Amino acid sequence: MTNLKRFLIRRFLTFIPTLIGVTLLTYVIAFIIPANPARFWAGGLKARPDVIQMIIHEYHLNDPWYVQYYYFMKGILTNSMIDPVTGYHVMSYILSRFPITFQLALFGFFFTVVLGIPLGIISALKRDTWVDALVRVWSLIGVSVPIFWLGYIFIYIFFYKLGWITIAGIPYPPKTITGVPIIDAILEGAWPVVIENIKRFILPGFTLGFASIGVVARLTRNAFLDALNSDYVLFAKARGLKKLRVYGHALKNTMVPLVTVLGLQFGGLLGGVPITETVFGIPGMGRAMVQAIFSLDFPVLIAGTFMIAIIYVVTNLIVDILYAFIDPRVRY
Amino acid sequence: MPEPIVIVEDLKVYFYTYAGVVRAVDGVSFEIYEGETFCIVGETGCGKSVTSRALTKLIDPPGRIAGGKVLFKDRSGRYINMLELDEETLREMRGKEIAYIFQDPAAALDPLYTIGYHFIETMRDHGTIRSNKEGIERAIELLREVAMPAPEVRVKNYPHELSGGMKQRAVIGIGLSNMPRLLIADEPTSYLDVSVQAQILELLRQLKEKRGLTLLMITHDMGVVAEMCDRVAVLYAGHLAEIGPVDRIFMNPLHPYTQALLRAVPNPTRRMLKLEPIPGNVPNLASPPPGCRFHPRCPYAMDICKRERPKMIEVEERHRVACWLYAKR
Amino acid sequence: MPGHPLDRLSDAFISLIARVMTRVNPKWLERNRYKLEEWRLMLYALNRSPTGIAGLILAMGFVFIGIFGPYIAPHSYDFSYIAATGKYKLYWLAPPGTGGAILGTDDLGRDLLSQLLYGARISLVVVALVLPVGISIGVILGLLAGYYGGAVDEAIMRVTDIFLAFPGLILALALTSALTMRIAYAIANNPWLTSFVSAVFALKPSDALNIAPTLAIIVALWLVWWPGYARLVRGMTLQQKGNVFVMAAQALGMSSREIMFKHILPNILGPLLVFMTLDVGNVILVEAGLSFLMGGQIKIPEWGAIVQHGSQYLVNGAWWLLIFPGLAILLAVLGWNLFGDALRDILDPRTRRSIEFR
Repeated sequence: MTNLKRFLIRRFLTFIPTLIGVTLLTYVIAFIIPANPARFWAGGLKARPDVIQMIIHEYHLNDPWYVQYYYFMKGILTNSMIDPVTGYHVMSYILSRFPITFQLALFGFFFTVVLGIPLGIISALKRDTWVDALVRVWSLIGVSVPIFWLGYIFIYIFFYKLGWITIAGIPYPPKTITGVPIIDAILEGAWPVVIENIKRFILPGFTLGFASIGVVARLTRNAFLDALNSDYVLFAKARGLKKLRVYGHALKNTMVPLVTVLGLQFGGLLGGVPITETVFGIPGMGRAMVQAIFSLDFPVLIAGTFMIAIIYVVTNLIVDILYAFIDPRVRY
Repeated sequence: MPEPIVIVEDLKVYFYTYAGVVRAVDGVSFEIYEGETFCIVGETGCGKSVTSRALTKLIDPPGRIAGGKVLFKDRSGRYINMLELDEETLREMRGKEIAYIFQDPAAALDPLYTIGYHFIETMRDHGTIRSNKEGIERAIELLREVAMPAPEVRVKNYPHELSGGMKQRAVIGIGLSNMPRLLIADEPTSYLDVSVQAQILELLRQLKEKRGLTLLMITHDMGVVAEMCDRVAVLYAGHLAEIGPVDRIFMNPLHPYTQALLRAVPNPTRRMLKLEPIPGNVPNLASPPPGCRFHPRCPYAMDICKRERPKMIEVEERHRVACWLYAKR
Repeated sequence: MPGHPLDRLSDAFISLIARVMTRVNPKWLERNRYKLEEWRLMLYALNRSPTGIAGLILAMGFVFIGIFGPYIAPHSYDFSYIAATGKYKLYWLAPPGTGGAILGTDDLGRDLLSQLLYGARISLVVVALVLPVGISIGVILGLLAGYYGGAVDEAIMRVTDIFLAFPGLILALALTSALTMRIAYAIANNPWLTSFVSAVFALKPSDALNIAPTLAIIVALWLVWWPGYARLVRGMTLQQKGNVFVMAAQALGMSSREIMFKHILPNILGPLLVFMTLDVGNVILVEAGLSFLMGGQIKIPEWGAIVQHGSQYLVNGAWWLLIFPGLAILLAVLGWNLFGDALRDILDPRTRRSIEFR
């Protein structure tokens, strides 16, 4: 256990440079945009000079870049900074939208796991048959489809033509526990809200996960085949183990590379969130960040990238821990 | 004179690849007698391993057993053709009647499970034990039998926590856990350090004596052959070149390939001034040379060697060779 | 071995190479006979992969249309049937096949087919500009990190990690919007740049300023594209570094640069080639996604922007404005992915051997 503790501390320490790097990078990009943010935030061309002065003072815009960066980060982390564009506290604004994005990613991840892994296993078992070829082509189509296009096709069919889904609003349960609507609704047993959430998120989730399903299916197939061709499976067969047990060995070994890829895919899903949220009109963090870019809303942009970077490093950490659970060769 | 435990007749194993049909084993016949140590020798890629795996149909696609018979003498003394058994019967035979151990013990053990678990699952699936507790006890006994140091600790270890020699001991123990009658050891020492090789060979010899096992050794090492074997079959490019008692093979090698093989390694029975490599390479088995497959590398090649495959001829007692040099015509 | 109708074509191709190279250098054939045989086997393997052949055809089709699309287009990209004929009612969101508009028209009466053909040029130029630069940066940094190790490795990989932890799409979008104004300014102030850019993209000089967002996307993708390659090449370099020939080269006193570029790079070229092929599709896709997100800000016939524009008219039932541009993206990307996938199997000796006949 002390090993685990030491490992966690070490990993948390490596988070710090990454998080600083990511926010600093955003900050640099934000400030090479050739615009006068103070004037823009104060209302554009008709902005009153005193308001501009106030904003410059409030956001330390006349200070050197590292001082500005310090105040930005401090304001975001302590949630004391008020966003000049939306008027909300920056961190509260991002945190209110994060659960929606998380829920969307969960739906996408659900499809990735529930469809991707079985398809990969079937593909490997039916290797070099038409089933295998079909899964292969399908997974290649998956990574080739523009997801915004796929999303609109789904909207066209299931919303305009069939009217099975809703594409507006987020159904919230009566109370807030974790902030993620569907999890709260399940915890509170508010089943109609659960169903509403499923109706709202099933298509965006499937669209978001579409590419990952194929990627995971391919990886599962190849890793499973590698395992089936390995010496330990040959030895298992040569010992006369039952078929199920032989497959058990192969499956558990397939999990080792799979865990890494699933972690990467979860990060990838969050990367695809801006497009999916825009297509389906979901008020999540991705859409907020896209809007922030267009409205020069740097505080929200920095806070948003900060959140996503945190999820990225935490996902990596979870993968590492899971890895050590599955594979006894890995030590902290 | 003991009876054969295995009779292989005209075995053919082909691999159907996109580069063509690879005739990895093409019409090989031999028999293994109960209680002996039988060796199959030859260079890499000559079909030794494939032959040994074909005995229990351990051949995966694109490989297929294209013909022949493998007769195995079961406990009641009847011969059954292994190649005609259904999958479930074959599974029961594997491990219980015929056990395998492979060259690389590090790869043969599943890295995600403990040594003890390997024992337990092997015995469970053959109904040898009733509980995991019994399995652990048996595993410790078996590990002690293969001279594993501190077996009580080792059953709880994962494969990566063991040295190469210890892993191979564990593999042998696991292979023997269901009391098989035939043990097939496929180059059991080639992945091990030289110092450990001798220990493992010694262990195999002791186990064979103690349990009355029949041993089939696959090797490319003539030293191992001289040390371990009673009878030897020399395989070349999927064909059987020569078969006979080990002393005859070393004292009076008949086939030019056997002779070349012996000149390429230090021969314990003769004083030799220098070692000679065999010129040329093992042919591509997708398009093997016609006739005798060794003729392109053979110093004595005649016209007929290029046209017709030589038949097996018994030159002296129990010593047969497939070579036109010995054909009486 | 069973023949395949395409094998004879492959044989002809291989002997053509042999003949041409012999003419150039009579000794070439002797030295490269083995390599040539290897290539022949690879082509045979490709012939046996229907998906690979389909991918090759689609990918080459994309390149062909990218080059010649603007010349075979029935109309200019900004041609409007409404302006030309004055028949507003007929050509406002005209469905496919209406009076000469094979794929239909949009809300301004513009010819969708022509727009898509011009759009292929834009996608092709983006790919041709993004990949070489992005990959070069990544390969060089990866080689340096993997070869030198230590502090160099640590420094390069930390920066790489930061870029990888950054949501790529957001990073690219932010960079794009940061750069667009500057690039537009540069184009406006350089008549030479105006005519060059419009010629490359096959657009009218009057639209040169509207290309600025696309150029900004290209520069943004340079910065987003390299980290993946840096990590990949670093890993492969580490593997190669342990090889005997690298150690031998070091022992012979070869310079580090020689070892990296003459010994390590050629050996990792195979997997790298597969990645590049698969990445052509990724560039097309990401660029389309960015121009989709930029939406109204893109005023040239860029595939992603056409989808975004068309999606607004789904309410009017104008499915063709959605389906066809998306299909164009899908087929172009799918082609490169199918081809790259087949290439991976062919270059990997393990899988190549298992491509079986039945």
